[in-house]
Amino acid sequence: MQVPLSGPDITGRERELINQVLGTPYLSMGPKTNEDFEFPNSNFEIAIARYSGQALRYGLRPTLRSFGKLRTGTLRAGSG
Amino acid sequence: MQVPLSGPDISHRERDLINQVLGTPYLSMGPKIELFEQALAEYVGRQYAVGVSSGTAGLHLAVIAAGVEEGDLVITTPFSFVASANCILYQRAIPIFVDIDRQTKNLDPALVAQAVVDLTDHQEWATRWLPPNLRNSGLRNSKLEIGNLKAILPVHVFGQPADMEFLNWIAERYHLPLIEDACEALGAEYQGKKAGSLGDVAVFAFYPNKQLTTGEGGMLVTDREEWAALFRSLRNQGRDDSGAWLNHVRLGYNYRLDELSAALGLAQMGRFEELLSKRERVAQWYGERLQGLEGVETPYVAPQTTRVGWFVYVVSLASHVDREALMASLEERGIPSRAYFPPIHLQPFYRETFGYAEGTFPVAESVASCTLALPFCGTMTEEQVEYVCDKLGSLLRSKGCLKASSAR
Repeated sequence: MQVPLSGPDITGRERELINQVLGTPYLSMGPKTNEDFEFPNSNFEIAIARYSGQALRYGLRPTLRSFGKLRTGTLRAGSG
Repeated sequence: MQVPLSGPDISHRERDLINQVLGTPYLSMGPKIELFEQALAEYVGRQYAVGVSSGTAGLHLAVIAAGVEEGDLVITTPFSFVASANCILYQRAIPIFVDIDRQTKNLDPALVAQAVVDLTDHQEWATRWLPPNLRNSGLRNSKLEIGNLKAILPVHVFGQPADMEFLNWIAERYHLPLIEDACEALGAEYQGKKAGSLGDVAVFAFYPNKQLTTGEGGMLVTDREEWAALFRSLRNQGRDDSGAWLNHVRLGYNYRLDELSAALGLAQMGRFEELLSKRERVAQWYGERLQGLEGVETPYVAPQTTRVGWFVYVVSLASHVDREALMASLEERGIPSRAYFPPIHLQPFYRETFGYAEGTFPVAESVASCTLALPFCGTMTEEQVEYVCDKLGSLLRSKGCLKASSAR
């Protein structure tokens, strides 16, 4: 038996979202506002922020605009 | 009509390769990055290619390989995207800006020669090349140990190669590594040779508006085996090349290119001639329509440039045109445009750190004051180009886009 040390868990949902992105012009830094909810970039940050529930986590390259929106309470992510 | 400023060209081949990767456990450092590296090395005609997370990361590693350390000097252009100077600052070294050629908008090689001579052979004249804040203290400053001139870093601005023959001649005479910033110039050719094969090391970038995209990503190319090995180690947290996963032999970085991005790049590489030809066609459509339009100068192509690797389509506006007003009017008509590039030395951070002000690099500043990047990418239709040129033409004829002093 060959046991892998580790491996990712990729489902149809991951493929679906990646293929969705490939159909848009946004291959880096997608739409910045929270209203564009179907786009993964801002969505991912929001999801992590919600999941962590204690401190606001944002992606490596947050835009001032999205950061500002998050800060101004569009989301109640908690203040730590 | 709404025209996008830029946009990638993604076919089923990109989708196929990406979906293939999603079916494997290799989401980073898998087989696709190696294939992508091989394909690019072969295309450019270099021995080695090393994929990294961005062009900026690649530039940083190139500067490290050139031996640039704290206080050292690197000659570069002020008319570029900020990353080509920031990569020097990452090493706590000092960018020595040299003014550009008005037509090509690339480093003026005669001025580079002068700077190199002054900075190496004539220290009494060297200080004039230093940033204002460092000038008074001279080259031997006790607070900041200013070291030696270590490299020349030309940028192939907007996809047109810098005058590399002249720059190579200077670099060789003074034993200075020549780092080609080819981040905007994949596919470009200088005297029949590909951009990226013209210096000691070159860096490409694959942001979504580039000739070839990986989303985020970049690549270094070189013929120096020891530099390629160094880049592989540096991008991967300083690991050694023995394959020992947790053996770190130097200070490294997390600059790896992920496998999904590499798959995208590999697919794009496979159809690169098509991608570049489409961009050439769009540039040609623009050229035909803008030729002779009063108030606009189409991009200059130097005789040494045997192929432009069209990155953006940048026109120069006549001095009587109010660029801000024109951009706003274009925007109202669904046409985004950008003032590429504000000179690096006038960026707030550079003014504050180095004391730069207007007037330091007159050619770069004058060029930057009238350049305008129009919507541009390979997927643009002739109808869109027609629309942009029509609107641009009628706006240039209206008084609303002329400077008040020159309204006529």
